[in-house]
Amino acid sequence: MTKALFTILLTFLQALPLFAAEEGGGHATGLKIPVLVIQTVCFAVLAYVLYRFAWKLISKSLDERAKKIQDTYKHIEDENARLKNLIAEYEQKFAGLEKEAQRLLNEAVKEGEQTGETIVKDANANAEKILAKARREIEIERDKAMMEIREEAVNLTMQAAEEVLKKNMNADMNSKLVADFIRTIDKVEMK
Amino acid sequence: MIEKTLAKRYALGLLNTAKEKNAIEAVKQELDATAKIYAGMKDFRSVLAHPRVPLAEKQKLFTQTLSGKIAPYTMEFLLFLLRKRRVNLLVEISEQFNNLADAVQNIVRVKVTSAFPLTEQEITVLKERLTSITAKNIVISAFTDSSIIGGLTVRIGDDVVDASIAGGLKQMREQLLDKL
Repeated sequence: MTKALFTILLTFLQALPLFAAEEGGGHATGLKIPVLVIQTVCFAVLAYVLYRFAWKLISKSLDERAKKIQDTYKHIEDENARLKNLIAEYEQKFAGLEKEAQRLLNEAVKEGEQTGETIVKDANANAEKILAKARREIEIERDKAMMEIREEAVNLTMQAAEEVLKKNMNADMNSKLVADFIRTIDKVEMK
Repeated sequence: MIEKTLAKRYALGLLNTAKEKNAIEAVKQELDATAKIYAGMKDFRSVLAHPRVPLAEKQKLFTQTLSGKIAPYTMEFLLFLLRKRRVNLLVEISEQFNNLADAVQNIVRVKVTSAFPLTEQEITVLKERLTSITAKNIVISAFTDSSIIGGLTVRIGDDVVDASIAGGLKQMREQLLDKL
């Protein structure tokens, strides 16, 4: 408080030569004692009035401001501390996470290997099945083709035989066949 | 099925009459001929089946067409069928009558198919052989079919003896396919 008043007074004293210059008369230094006294008194009154009525408000405001600044500083310090703690905590967590990540990675790799093995196994089994099926189909197709060839061969043979028989068949030969049939009719099988 | 049963009953009735008159063969032929006329003449069938044509007209049509050509008891049977409105069964009755008559007369009908026409002697010998085997009166109907190439087929009722070249070739083909 005193410090503040002293500062105000000094400011006033520094301004005195200016006042003297504006008056334009007096001593060689420009200083007029009555004016100085009146001004000092006025200033004192003003200072007192200010001190009596405004100073408390100003002081309170300044105190509040100072307190706010202190609080801000404190808050910043607290935040710093909290952040440090948080950083430490996160560092710890990250360290843990790194381990967890490694563990998960290892598990994933292991699982992947197992899955890979299963896939390979299944693929092999499927390939075997497909191969077996293909072999069966080939066999069936081969048998079918063989059967068709046999049928064709038999058909051609029978056609040739039929042609030869048709060409050579006549009434006499037919009569012989009929006679053979009649002779052996009691032995033939009915259908 | 019902028609067949009914036809058999009518045929049996007529057969009894024919037996009494000792004219089974004659009735068989007359009935057969009438059935053929009935089956072959569409207009004749239409008139007999028409509901607006009076019975007397239908009977008149029958008597005018067949009088003097068939025995009186056969004619009486046909008129009876007209009265009963069963003339539509005539063909079936004829077939049933033939079957029943064959059974009464111990006749077995044999259908012989050969690649070349059979001689009378061949038919006679075949008939004798079949008669001795079956102990029945054999009646042979001979047909010719060149597609069997040679030999013959004999059908007795539902049984068939295939002694044809075509049959032999077919059998040989099956055996070859089985063995290959």
